[in-house]
Amino acid sequence: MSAHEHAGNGIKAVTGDEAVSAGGRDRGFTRRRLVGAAGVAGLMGVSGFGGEVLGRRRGLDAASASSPDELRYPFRGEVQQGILTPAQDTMYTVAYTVTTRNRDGLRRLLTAWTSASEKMVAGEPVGGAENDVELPPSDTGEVWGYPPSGLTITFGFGRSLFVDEHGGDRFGLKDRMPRVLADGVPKFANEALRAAASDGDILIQTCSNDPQVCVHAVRNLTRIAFGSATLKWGQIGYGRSSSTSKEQRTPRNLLGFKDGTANLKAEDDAELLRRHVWVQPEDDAAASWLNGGTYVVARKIHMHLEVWDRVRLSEQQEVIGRDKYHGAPLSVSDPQDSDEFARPDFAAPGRDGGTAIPADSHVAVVGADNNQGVRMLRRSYNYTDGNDSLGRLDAGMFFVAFVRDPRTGFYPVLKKMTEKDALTEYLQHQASALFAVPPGIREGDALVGQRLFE
Amino acid sequence: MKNTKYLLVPATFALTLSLASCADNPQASSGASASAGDTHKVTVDITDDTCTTNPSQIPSGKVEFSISNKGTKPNEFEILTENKLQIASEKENIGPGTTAELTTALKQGTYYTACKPNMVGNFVGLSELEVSQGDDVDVSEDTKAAEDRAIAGYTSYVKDQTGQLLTATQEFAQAYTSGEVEKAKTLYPLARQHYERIEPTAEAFGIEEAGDLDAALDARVQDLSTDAHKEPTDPEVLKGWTGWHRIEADLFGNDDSPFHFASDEERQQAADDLTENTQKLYDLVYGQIKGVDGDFELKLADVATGASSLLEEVAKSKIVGEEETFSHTDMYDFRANVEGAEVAYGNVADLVRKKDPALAESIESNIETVKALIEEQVSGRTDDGTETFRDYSLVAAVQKDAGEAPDASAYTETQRKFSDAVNALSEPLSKIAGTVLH
Repeated sequence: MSAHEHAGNGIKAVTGDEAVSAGGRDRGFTRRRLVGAAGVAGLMGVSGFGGEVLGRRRGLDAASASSPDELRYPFRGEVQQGILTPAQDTMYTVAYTVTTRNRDGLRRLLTAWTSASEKMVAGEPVGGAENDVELPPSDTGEVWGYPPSGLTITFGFGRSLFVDEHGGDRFGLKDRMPRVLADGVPKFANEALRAAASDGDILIQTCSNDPQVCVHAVRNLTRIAFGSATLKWGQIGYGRSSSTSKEQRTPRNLLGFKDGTANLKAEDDAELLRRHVWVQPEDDAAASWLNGGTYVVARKIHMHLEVWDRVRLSEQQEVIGRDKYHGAPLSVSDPQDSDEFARPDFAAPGRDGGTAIPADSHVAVVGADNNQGVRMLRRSYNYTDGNDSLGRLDAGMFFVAFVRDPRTGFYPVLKKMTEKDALTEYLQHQASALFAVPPGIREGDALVGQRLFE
Repeated sequence: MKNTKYLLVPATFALTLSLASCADNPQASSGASASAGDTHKVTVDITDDTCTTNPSQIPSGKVEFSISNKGTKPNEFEILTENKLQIASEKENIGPGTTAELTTALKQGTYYTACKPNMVGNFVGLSELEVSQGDDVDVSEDTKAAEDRAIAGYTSYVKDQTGQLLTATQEFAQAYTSGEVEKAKTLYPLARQHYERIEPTAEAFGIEEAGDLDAALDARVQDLSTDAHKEPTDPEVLKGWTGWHRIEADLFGNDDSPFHFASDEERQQAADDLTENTQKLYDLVYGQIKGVDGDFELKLADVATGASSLLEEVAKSKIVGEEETFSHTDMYDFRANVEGAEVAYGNVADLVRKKDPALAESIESNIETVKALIEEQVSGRTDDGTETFRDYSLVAAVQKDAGEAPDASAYTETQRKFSDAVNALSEPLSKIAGTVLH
């Protein structure tokens, strides 16, 4: 099922307005407001990170048009696109297993992928405008004449690209493997990970405002890889509103909550990003090629939606720690839309003698205030992979976060969440992925991650 | 009996080799004629905002572009035809500070050269390249001879396989109708290999209309029943079903299989139909009868697309185990398809090597990979030394007895490996036609 169909069938996340009218209440519009104060956001919250402002300031993601279809982001820059880029409507992320045996073959693959990606994000056909009727077209054609729709293509390198399952050096890159990849992702409580849908040698994240543009990108990159790499797993995600304006409403996840206020704020400066997102020279001397890059952690989190939907509203709100309609923390009494970005007061008293925000609520467990100020740049999407054979929606969140060091910036929060968060009862982690995301493709670079090979 | 042995596997390899070696001979002559016409050299200098060629006028024939990227960006050099739309030849991703060679043959005419920094955006330095009438006559004559050899070589192969098919079919029919069940089961996949090796070509043949021989010889009950909107076991469907797979369903079915013939008379009838139609195929290929399109004749396009079409068969029905849904002898068909592809390619290999050596190398190494994977499924040998394969349903998720196809998630690691290797081979094979045809 394509993400197109999701949208067409109305499965797309309900917006704030629709939720309000469905509830028969007149609370007006919820506008996303960008505040400078450190806020708290749940892990589950769809990223409300205001990348557009940061992007503009860094000159990285200045879009060339205002319509979502016409958006076009530069391919080359200090950091890869698709990280700070304002999150597009659709994501199609795939992981490949590299089958070529030698370093030259790997370089050739990355070079071919880089060329094709640069063309696709510019809205041009792969292989150029060739017209030889005796050849299969180099470009598969399903977006010929379409605008790039804000397409970004982002690459990551997994542990298994550096070493095989026996620790052997696959491509002469072993001594440059980042420590974070060598350490791997620890095991967490309540997870049921499927190896076939986890990790991989190379990750490619494609995001755009048109699902077909994403599918075209993945299809052509996969075709280019035949003989050098094969698809291991793929995930289509949806659930962003189409506006890239600051006025964009906070999207809702499939639990119906819009608690994605933001971990990192649009106004946060480069210093905060350096501290929490970008790998710094002092981090890992052996992996200096990754300086200015980042790590992406992804978790496929299945939601038991049928069960969740039978939970009383008061209990749902206590599980999340926020008001469902407005998104305000429960420490705000009689909340309004404008309270969405209010800072949670974990000490505020509740009705039954406890705190208004229960200690095991999602917000309390994973919020930055309660996690040594840990922050990450989240870029998650909702997913629906049809239904299982019992007729239950196979749906949830494809959680994606970019962090400087997951050992301090992600695992501790996830550990706490899987052990203490009341929400865990309604979730199951089904897949996990960790990749090193090289810094941007510089002017003059022939391939992504060129510094790894220099 | 001697003939039977000859048609078994080692003979195919011998045939492939002989074709390859016969294709090797002309290499000497093509070298000689190439030296008769010089390779014209053009220097291309690239910066980020210029793209100059020197000279800008050359005679037609073989041209070697020596490209030097003195800019700061990876660049692409393109030669466009007069309409500035169609790319005659190109070199992608020439790194900054590096050089690259592009060798191509250009006919007389007006061309344009241009660059594309970072391989995107508008052309930079679009300029005219005038190709005057030169010495490409030798080149085309040489090519024409190679093309004629390719067609002749592949035609002989099709004839040879059809001849072997007829003998093997008759032997199989004899065993089947005389109740030698085990012998018939052994002969079934071996006889079919000759058909599978030339499948795309054989499929196109027709006596009354295109494809009617294939429908009579190789129809699958899955297709017949869906066309008729009926169940595969429907008596009407079974009544109209002839050929190899009808006999396969009877021969390999369980005791209570609904696909068994009701009587030995029906068996005899099915076997007679099979040999009769195979005889027709033979007569057509050997020019003893005319088909719907007149005399049997192959074109260069049949050879150029032959290998690709055979791999398409593998991808669509062999790997997923749909072809031999009762006998699970898909591995024999798989190997035969690949052998046929190797021969089809072998007949144009000379042309491909000349125009695109990298493509030839990719095809040849990927053929070896696929063959090695096939070899892993060999289970043993018959008394006369013929290799036998494992029951495909033991190593793969397959469609059984024309029932439901396996779930998309059910395919095995073996099938995954086959699929990856076949994809890797099919991509370069799909470029043969564009390289060879003109």
